[in-house]
Amino acid sequence: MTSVVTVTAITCVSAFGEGMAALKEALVTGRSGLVAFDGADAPLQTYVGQVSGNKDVVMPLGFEKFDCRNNSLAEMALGQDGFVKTVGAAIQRYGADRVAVILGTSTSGIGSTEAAYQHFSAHGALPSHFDFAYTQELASLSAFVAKRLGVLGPAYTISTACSSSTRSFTEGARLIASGLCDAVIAGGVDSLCETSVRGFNSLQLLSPNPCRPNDRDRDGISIGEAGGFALLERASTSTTDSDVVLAGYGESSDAYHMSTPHPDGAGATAAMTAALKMAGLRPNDIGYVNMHGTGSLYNDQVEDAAITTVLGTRTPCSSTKGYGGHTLGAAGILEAAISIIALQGSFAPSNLNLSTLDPSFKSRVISQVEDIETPHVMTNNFGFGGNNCVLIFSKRS
Amino acid sequence: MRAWIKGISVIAPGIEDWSAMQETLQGLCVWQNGPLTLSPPGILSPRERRRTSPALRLALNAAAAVCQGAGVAFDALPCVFASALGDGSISDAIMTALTQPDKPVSPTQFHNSVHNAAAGYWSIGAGNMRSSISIAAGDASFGAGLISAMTHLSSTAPEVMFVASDMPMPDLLAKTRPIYAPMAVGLVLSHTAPARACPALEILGASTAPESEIVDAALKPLANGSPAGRALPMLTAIASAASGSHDLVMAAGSNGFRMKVRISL
Repeated sequence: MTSVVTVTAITCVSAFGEGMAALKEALVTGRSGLVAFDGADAPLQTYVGQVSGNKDVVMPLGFEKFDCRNNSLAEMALGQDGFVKTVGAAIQRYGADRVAVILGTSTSGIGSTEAAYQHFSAHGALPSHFDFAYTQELASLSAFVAKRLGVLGPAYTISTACSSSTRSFTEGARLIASGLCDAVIAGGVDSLCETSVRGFNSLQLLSPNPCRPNDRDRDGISIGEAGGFALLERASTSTTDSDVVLAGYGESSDAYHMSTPHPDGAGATAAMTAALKMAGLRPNDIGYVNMHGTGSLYNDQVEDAAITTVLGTRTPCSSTKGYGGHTLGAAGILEAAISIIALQGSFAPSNLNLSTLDPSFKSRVISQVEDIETPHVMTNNFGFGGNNCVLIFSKRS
Repeated sequence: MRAWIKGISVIAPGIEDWSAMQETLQGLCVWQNGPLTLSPPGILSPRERRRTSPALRLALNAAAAVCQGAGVAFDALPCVFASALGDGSISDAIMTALTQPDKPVSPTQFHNSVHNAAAGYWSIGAGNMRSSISIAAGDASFGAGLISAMTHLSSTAPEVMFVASDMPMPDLLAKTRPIYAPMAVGLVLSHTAPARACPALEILGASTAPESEIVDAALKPLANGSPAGRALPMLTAIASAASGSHDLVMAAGSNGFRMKVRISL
């Protein structure tokens, strides 16, 4: 990269809990946050990662129009780990119009539209308070967070399914490299909604049990919700002593099918290879891979093949979706947070719910926490539409 | 940030291509709103292309047209797609399905409901394995997408395709979020000056001045009411063919961010 970007701060909320300390604790102890889905009047056997406490969130004064599950999750995440204060300092340092907000989401506030249609079905009219632009419309998330933080630079929302918030890092890095901005708030939010659960169910991709990524008997995904943010700064002008950098990234498309990965894993392989090249690293330099590892039959199989091709069979890897579920548009930020915890703590989290590793797999999926040997962690996200994005975080000495 | 505009496509009611748009912007004809017929996208298989929604057709046709006009292969370039609302017809169908007791969401509609459906089908139909991104910034989606596209340009990614498109949503959703008319604008941007003379585009930085307005009264509703219409002041400058610099202010953030843009001919 022409300009190295540091990750100055990162925070998140998910079924793991609120903030980075809770996330680390769950990873170290191997504690899953998945719970049985409450289908109300349309029961459905599946498990989900839910953020409790979301319903207690009150939107700040002046932001009431933005009220929806997705934005209240954003509000919760913003309140963690002193993130707002850290952003405030960056704004002071660079100027509000030199800071940008780039966030990913797949659900946005669709729950509000779901409720509005239920209302229409029962009463023949939409609820008077329903405002699409402030809730479901994708721009809502970046608009809310930018206004909440006082950010006057560029602001937009990315929506590329499961790679949405992963791409917020690559977009942020490019924007900083361009010289238009000095800092970017990256990250994203996805919230539990009927659309995601019933939609994945219609594709027969949901597991009736807590998901078992990489297991021989895996049978689908568990959906989760999460919200998180990272502050990215140009390394040369950052005054913090953050030791984490975004060393490289790779992006590609499968050009194959909207909801099935390319069987050869060509797209995944290309993205991982490009990330290594940009970071100037060799395969052996990667200390741990946080897999996309959804628990679906095809994703895990294709990902294993791609990892083996690019990195070989010795790099410790795991999927952490057994802890908080597949958080879709927020998978990128949650798994970046996990990768950074792993990097800073020099440990690789274990792959939960692994009884028997798929015997056809050749990559070294770990079911116990292990020490990391090198200061570089790779995280993968592969989304619908064959949209692939891989990040490499490094600890600089 | 600086780039050269190697190709432009425009689709709107009564405007079938950039050539037609230029004539309107030059005052040679007066624009009128009306229906828009979109042909099934040629890059998809016959079966798939029959099943495409109007929103998907609009984006894919604009993409094909801009690549053709710029003389670039469909599978060659990384892509940025920008749309404020994506595919409202699919949202409406899924929301309606969820009101029924057994919640019969169609699996095909679900995987087509992702905001990056246009990017996905473009990559599948064109065999394009380059990176693609899909973004939204409300009425500022064109400007935000332009920023994203320009930041993609580098010595290793010397050209990028950018398509901004929006289709009005079905009645129920349109009541709360109306779009004036369907419209798409496509650009092929180049990192270095191409062999033949092309307009240069620079993003000069943030601006607190008001957004540039177009003068043409007939086009104003389109410029203000369709997200891709925010490209019209810039396209007017390009269509004028008046040599020199044209400076404008363009909305480029969901938070109201505006930027100063310079077109040089």
